[in-house]
Amino acid sequence: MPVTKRRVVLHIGLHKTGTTYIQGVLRANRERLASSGVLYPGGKGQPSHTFAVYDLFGRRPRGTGDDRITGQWESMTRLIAESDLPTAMLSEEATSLASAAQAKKAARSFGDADMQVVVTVRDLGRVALSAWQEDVKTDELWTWREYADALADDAARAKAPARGFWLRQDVPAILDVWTRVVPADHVHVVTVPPVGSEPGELLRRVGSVVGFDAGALVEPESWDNVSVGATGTELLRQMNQRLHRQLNQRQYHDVVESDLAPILAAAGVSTAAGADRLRLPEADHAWVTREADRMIEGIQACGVPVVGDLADLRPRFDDSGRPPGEVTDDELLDAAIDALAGLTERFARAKWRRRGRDSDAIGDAAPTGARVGSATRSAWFRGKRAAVNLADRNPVAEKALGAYLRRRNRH
Amino acid sequence: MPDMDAGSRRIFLHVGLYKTGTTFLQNLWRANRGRLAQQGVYYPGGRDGPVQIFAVSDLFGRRPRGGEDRIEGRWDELTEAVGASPHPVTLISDESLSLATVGEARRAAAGFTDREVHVVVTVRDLGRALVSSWQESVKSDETWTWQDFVDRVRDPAVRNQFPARSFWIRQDLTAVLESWQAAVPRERIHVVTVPPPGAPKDLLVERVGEVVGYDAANLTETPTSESWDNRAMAAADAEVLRRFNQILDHRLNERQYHRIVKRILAPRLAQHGNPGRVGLSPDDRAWVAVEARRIVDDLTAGGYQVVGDVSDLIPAESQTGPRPDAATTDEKLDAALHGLAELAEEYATLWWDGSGARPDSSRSADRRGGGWRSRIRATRFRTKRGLLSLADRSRVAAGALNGYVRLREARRRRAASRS
Repeated sequence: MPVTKRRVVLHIGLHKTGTTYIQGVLRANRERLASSGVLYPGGKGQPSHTFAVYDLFGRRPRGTGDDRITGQWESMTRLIAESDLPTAMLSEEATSLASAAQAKKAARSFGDADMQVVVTVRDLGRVALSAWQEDVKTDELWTWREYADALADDAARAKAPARGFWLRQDVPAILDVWTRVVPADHVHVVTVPPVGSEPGELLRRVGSVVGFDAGALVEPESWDNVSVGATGTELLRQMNQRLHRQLNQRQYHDVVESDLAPILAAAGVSTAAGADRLRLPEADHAWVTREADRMIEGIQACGVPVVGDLADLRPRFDDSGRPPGEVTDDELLDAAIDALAGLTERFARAKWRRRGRDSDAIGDAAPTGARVGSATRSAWFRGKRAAVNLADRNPVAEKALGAYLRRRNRH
Repeated sequence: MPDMDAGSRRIFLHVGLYKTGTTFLQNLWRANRGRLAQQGVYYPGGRDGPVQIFAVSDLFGRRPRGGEDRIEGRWDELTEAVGASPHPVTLISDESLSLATVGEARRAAAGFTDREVHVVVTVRDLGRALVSSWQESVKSDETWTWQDFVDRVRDPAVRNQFPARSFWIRQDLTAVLESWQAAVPRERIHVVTVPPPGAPKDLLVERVGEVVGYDAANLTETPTSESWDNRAMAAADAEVLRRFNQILDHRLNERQYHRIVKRILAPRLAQHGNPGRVGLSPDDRAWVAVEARRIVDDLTAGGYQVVGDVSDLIPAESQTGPRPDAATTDEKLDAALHGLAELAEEYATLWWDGSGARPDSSRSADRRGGGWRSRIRATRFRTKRGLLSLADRSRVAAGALNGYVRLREARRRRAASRS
């Protein structure tokens, strides 16, 4: 009896194409996906997509602890091999960084499974801005101008930051790697719909390849798109200059991503809607258009199936938002003080949860007599403080307090 | 050991005032506890000794929010420790003792019946006390602007309201002396003036030493605490912190605020910024001088023993200067960014030291044979990254890498055109 081959769908990114959103929804809908025949690993006790791919590449982010990564790729492939579901989906944007050899190794890990590769691709202008912002959020220092000039310069491609960017965003090069590993008609380019499209459209497109109905999935409640904006990004960049790389990757990530970014995003809510959104400066329109055209031609030349519309990848330039770095010192100061207060609050609470030694009351040893005297004084003090607070609000109480203060010393 | 009849056993209560260099003095005495003891002076505290500030809080019935359980029974603990001390002289220092009512002052003195009780009051000119009190209010979660603060301290109509009340209750020397002379004979109350700006810092230590009976030259240990020298604040730091308090809106309790802001943030800001000279406007200096003169007159009329020069207590013309909140946006931004980076680092370190960052071994339990391959990949990755970062620094390596990238690209294009 012929057995249908298992399908393994690798969603390889690209970076900054809504992967966090997609992964968030999939994670929240593991059971629904399973009931439509799709295994989305990463549940309790299962290997994580990210660590599995890090392990495939040999990557060990500083501070993550080697033990959490070692062996994760093998665990993942075994989990998929042992599953009863006809389709398995992995989603991790770092997969797009695979060399041909690594891609081959990844594909081979699944034996004779029917391998499908999904590549989500987005308008290069938006991607470049997001990528710069992401770099700043990972302790980098370059300004947008430095960053964009490097991206536009062919001679700078082998050097940071352009190397990192094109490694992640050179669509023809990435398609070239994967079409050597799986047949071209198994590599699916999914275009990210432009700003203003119907929400859920991207997920619908991905679902049409993988084989799930995006409409049946529920969005996780706490899906908060942490958008830091032009001011917050510039603030972080200037803060990085002073941090001098003293934090390791994981420490930095935890403070900035988990604490500062939400604080800055929340503070930004008060600014006029969208006013702080990053906009591509005019100086960059030409090279972005040129490169976007190269991407589109490259995709067409590869002959891979496209879900969505290649026109989605043509940069749209509008007037909303503001160019990166165009922030006044006053705005930065406001943001810095917001961030300082927010971070202090989180810090204080974290420290507070960790106190403990303080509760070893030495007063326990005090004799009963002393404790009674002490408690009486405490009650008296509280009473006085309450009276004084009242005096700050109530004129009658204030007069009484004044009289008391004058008489206190002339008993 | 000297003979210990009642007269030769003395206790000196250094009662402040606030903002007269008390933190500086206390840290110095704390660091030199052993050297004071060699000179016959017991300064309570140390590893197993009573904590002076807790004892005084207990005397007043004060329970700082969040630290309630540490206070109970501490005053009796202190008086017992003093009673048991073999040293002829004891020194206690806590500026909050200046807030004592007559009853509280009497209760404090009554704690040391077998000692001759003396009171030491350090006093600074009222102008500098005013600036420093505003700065302290900012470091204590308050949000008054400098001008608001000064105007309220000046206005007799709001003297019984916060924050003027809080200023005068701490800085009205006449009232403080009146309370304490009800508990301690006038001739045992010693007023020590803080030397004017520019005078050597040791002068204050020497002046108090003259009263208490130690040789300041012997106190050679330097305090280690980061914030031991409670420096004046730069205008930018003060203004950033004031606005920071507005945003924080009292969401932290006293101790939380103290731990992060007083112990970490404010000292880090102080290390970074250079406090320029700040002062009073000519108009403000004039009214402060009138108040200061009243205080000096009362002091002189009272016949108290004074160490130092009373004229140091009246703000001089030369004390006018830029307001203590006058800072440019640039300076403030610089301060805020510096504070942010310092705090992020501290926070990350706290987080890192906690359990959250420890490698999670449960995930790696199942690795059957994947281990060695996984490690080879890790080594290869590290090597590659090493080469890449070399390319960012070395032109030769960059050239080689560039060539490689181009080669790969060309190969890809050829492959694409064939298909």
